Amino acid sequence: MNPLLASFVPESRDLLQTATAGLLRLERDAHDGAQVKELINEVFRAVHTIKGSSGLFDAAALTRLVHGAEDLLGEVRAGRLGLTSDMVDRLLDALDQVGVWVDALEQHECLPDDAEAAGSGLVAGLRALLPARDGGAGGPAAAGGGARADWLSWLTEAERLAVSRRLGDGAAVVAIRYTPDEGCFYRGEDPLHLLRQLPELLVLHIAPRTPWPPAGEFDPYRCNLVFHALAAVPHDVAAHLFRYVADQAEIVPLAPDALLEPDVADDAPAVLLPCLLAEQRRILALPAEDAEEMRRRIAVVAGALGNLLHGADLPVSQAEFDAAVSHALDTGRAAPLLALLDHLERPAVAAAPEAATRPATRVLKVDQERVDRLMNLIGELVVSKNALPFLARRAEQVHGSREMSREIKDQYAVIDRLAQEMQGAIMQVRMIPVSEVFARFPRLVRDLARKLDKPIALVIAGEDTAADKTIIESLGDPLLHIVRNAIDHGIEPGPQRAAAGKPGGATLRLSARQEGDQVVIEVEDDGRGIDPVRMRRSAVDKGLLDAGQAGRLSDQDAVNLIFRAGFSTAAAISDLSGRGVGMDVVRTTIDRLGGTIGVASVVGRGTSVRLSLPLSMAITRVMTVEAGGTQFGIPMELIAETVRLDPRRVRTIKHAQTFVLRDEVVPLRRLADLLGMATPPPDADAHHAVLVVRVGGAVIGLVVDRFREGMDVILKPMDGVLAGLRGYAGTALLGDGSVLLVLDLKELL
Amino acid sequence: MPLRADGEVLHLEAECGVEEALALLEQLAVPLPPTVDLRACTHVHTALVQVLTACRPRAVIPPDDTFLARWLMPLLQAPPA
Amino acid sequence: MSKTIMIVDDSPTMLLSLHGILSKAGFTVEQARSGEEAVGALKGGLRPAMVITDFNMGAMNGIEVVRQVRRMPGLQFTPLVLLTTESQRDRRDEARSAGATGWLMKPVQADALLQVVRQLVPGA
Repeated sequence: MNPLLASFVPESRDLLQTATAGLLRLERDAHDGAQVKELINEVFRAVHTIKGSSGLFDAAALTRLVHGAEDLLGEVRAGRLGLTSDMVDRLLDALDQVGVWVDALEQHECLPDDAEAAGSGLVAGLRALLPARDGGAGGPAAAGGGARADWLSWLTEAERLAVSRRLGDGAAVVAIRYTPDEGCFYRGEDPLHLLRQLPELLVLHIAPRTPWPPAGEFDPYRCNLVFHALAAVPHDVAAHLFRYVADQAEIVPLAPDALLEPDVADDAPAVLLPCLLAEQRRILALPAEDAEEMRRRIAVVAGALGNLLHGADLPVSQAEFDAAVSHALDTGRAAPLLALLDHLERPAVAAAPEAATRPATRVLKVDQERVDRLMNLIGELVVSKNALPFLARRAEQVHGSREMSREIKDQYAVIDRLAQEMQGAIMQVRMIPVSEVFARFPRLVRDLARKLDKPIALVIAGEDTAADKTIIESLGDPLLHIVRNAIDHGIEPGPQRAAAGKPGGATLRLSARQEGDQVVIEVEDDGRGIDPVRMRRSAVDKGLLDAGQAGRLSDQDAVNLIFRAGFSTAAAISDLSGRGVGMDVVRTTIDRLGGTIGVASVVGRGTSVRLSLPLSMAITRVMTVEAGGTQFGIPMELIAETVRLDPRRVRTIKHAQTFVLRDEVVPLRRLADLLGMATPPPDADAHHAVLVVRVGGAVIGLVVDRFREGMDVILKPMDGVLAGLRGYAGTALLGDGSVLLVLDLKELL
Repeated sequence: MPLRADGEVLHLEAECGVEEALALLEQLAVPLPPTVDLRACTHVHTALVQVLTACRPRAVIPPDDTFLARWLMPLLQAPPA
Repeated sequence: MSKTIMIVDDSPTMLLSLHGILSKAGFTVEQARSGEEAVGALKGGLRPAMVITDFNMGAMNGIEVVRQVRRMPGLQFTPLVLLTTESQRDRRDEARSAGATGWLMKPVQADALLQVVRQLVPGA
C-alpha cells in the first residue's frame, strides 16, 4: 500500500475515535463551561486533522464530508451555535460514514463508487444546521480597467517607450508600488528577492522613503525602501506573488492608454472640512437660554459631526464620538464636543504648511493585549539589563579586569537609560485620563440628590489628569463608595443645613491632580463631618474597642476608625451606601493598587477623603539588603534614608530600642528578628546599617547586615502555598537567576 | 563567507543574506570605505541593499547577475540625494 | 549545499507527505511532531533556512511556534510559513503580526509548496 495511505488509515481511526467519544461526552455529561470548550476543541481538532490529511488522496467525497462537519463544529466552537442532540446525531452519522470509507481506502485504496451520492446527502444534512450566511462578501472588487498609478510621471522616456511598446503588443502590464513595512525583515521577508520573481520586469525604481539617518542611528534591519515596478504580467499572477504582503503592495493593472493622460488632483473634501468644523464651533458658542436649549444645540452639532464621521476619514472613532455626545447631553455642556472639535482640527492645521514633506499625524487604535505584550517584553528587558552589574562585578573580581568592568558599567548606563525611556513611552500609551471614571458621577450624584432631597452641586476638577489604565479602572468602585458615603452620611438634609447656618445647596468636590509620581484624588463634602466622640462611642458599642482603648485614641485616630473592618458595614447599611461594602474594603482595594487613603474631617464643616495612587504599576524599584545572610528587597518608595548608626547612639526606652534622628525618636527593629531568623548577636562595636522606612505614616529604623544595590524588578505576587505567607509582597527574578524575596513592610511591622 | 575583505576591496560573493548586514555596515561605515566588488554576488538581501545605499561606498564593481546589474546598480550609482 | 527545511505537524501523515515532496526536490528535512518539539530543536541550535508549521496542533499552536521562534537569535529573519485551512483565513493577520512570513493552504500540493519555498528562500 502507498506509505502515505498506510499512515493515514490508523491515524484517522484514532481521530475518529477521539471525535466520537468527545461528542458523546459533550452530550451526556459536560456542563461546566471550560470543560465544554475543551471537548469541542478536541473534537474540532480531530475532524480538522482528518480533513487536512484526506486531501492527499483520491477521496474528494470524504474530504467534503469532514469539511461539512468541521464547519458545523467551527460554529459551535465560536459560540455562534449551541450543540443540540440533532446535531450530535448528524455528526455521528458523518463520522460513521468516514469510518466506513477509511476501511474502503485500506482495502481498495479508493472510495466505493456510491461515495459521492452517500456523502452529498450527509453534507446537505450538516449544512442545513448552519446559520444562514449573509451574501455579498464576494471577492475583492475588480480593479478598474483604466486605473492609473500616479507615480508614472517619473518614468524616463526610454522606460515609457518600453512599457508603451509592451502595452501596444496587447500585453497585460501591472504597476506595483511596494512599501514594505519597517519590521518586514522580522517576518522573514526579503522584498528584493520577491521582486526578482516577477516575470518580465520592465521598470524597477528603488528609493529610500526617508533620508538615511547618520551612521550611528542607522539600523539596516529597519526597512526604509520603497519599490516602484512595472511588469508585463497578468494582475492575478502579480497578486498571487504578493499575497503575503498584500497590505504593503498596491498592484494596479495598467490601461493601454495609461501613459498618455495627465494627472488630476481632487482635494475638495480636504478644503471643505475646516469650514464645516468651524461652523459647528460657532453653533456651540451661541448663548443658550437654558440647559434645554443647549442640549438641542448639542444634538444639532452631534448630527452634523456624525455625518462627517461617516463620510470622511477622521481621526476619531465612533465610540469616542458617541462617548463625547452622551457626555455633552448628560451634562448639558458643550465642552466634550469642543474637545472633539479641537482634536479634529489639530491635524488639519498641523499638516497644512508642511503637507508635502510630512504625512499628517495618525491616531492608531491598538489592542490592549498588544500593549500589555510590549509591556511584558520591556519588563523582561529591564530584568535582563540588571544582569550587567553582576557581569561587571565578575569582570573585576573573577577576571581582574577593572577596565572591562568599567566599560560594562558604561554600557549598562546607556541601556538603563534607553530601557527607562522605553518604559516611559509605553506607560504613556497605557495612560488614560481620570475623566473615564469621573464621567459617571454627574448623573449618579444628580439621581442620589433627588432621591434624598438634598440639593448638591458636583464640582469636578482635574479630569484630564492621567494614570495607568489599570489604576483608573480599579478606581471606579472605591470612588463610587466614597461618593455615596458622602451623600448619604456626610451631607445633611436641607433643614439641618439651614439650622447650622449653611447654604441649602451642598457642594461635593471631586478632584484629581498629579503629585510627583502619584495621582491624588480627593472627594470633599461640606457636610456634617465625622465626629470623633461619636466614633469612639460607636466603636465601644460594637465591641471593637474597650472604653479605655477608645479614650486613648486621638481625634484623628478616632476618625480613622471608619477604615476598621466591621465598623462602617454595621454603621452604614442603607439602601445607598450599604450593600455590605465598608470603607475597609475601599482601603484594601487602594492598598492593593499600591496606594494610600486618608480622611480628614472637621465637625460641622465637612469631610475630605484623599486617595493617593501610583501613576503606573508594573515595575517596582527596590533596594536590596542582607539580613541573616539572605538577600531581601524592600520597595524603594518606603525608604526614607539609610543611616550608619554608632551602637552608642542606641537608647533603650521601655525595652524598645530607639535612636534619635534629627530630633525625632525612631524605634529600631532588627529585620532578622522580624523575619524570625536565628542570627548571631551583632558585633557590639560595629556600626549598624539602618534603613529608615516610612510605613503608614510611622518612621521606623530597620537594622540589616548590609545594604546592597537598588534595582528595578517586576514583582510577581506569591502564589501557591506561598500565597498565605505574611510579610512578603512577592518575588522577583534577578539578573543572576536567583530569586529575590520582596518584603511587605506594612504587614511585617 | 559571502563577505571577504581583500585590501581595499570588499568582495560580496554568492548569496549575501540578511545576517551579513551588520558586518557590511561595519566595513562601510568608516571614513575611507573600501571599493565594493559585487561581481560574484548572486543575491543581496534588502537589508544589505540599505547598507549599500546609506553608506555609499567609493566605488562599486557591478555584479554579473543580470537582475542586480540592471535594477540595483542605478540606485548605487545615483548621485546622493 | 542543500538547504534545510523544518516541518512541524502533529499528523504523521502530513509530515510524511511534506517530507516526501521536499526531500525529492533536494532539501534536507527536519521534522517535529509538535510545536514544543520544534521549539526545543531550534533552541538546541538547529538553524533551518525555513520553517513550515501546522496551525492547529495540541498545546502549542502554529502562531505560538512562530512567536517563540521569532525571538530566537539567528531566526529573526528566517521565513516561517503556517499550514492553514480555509476556515482559518481570518487568523492570517494574527499570524502575520506574530511574525509569520506567509501561509500555505491544506491540502498541500507539491508545486504550490515548492513555489512558496523558492519564493521565500533565496537560492532554493
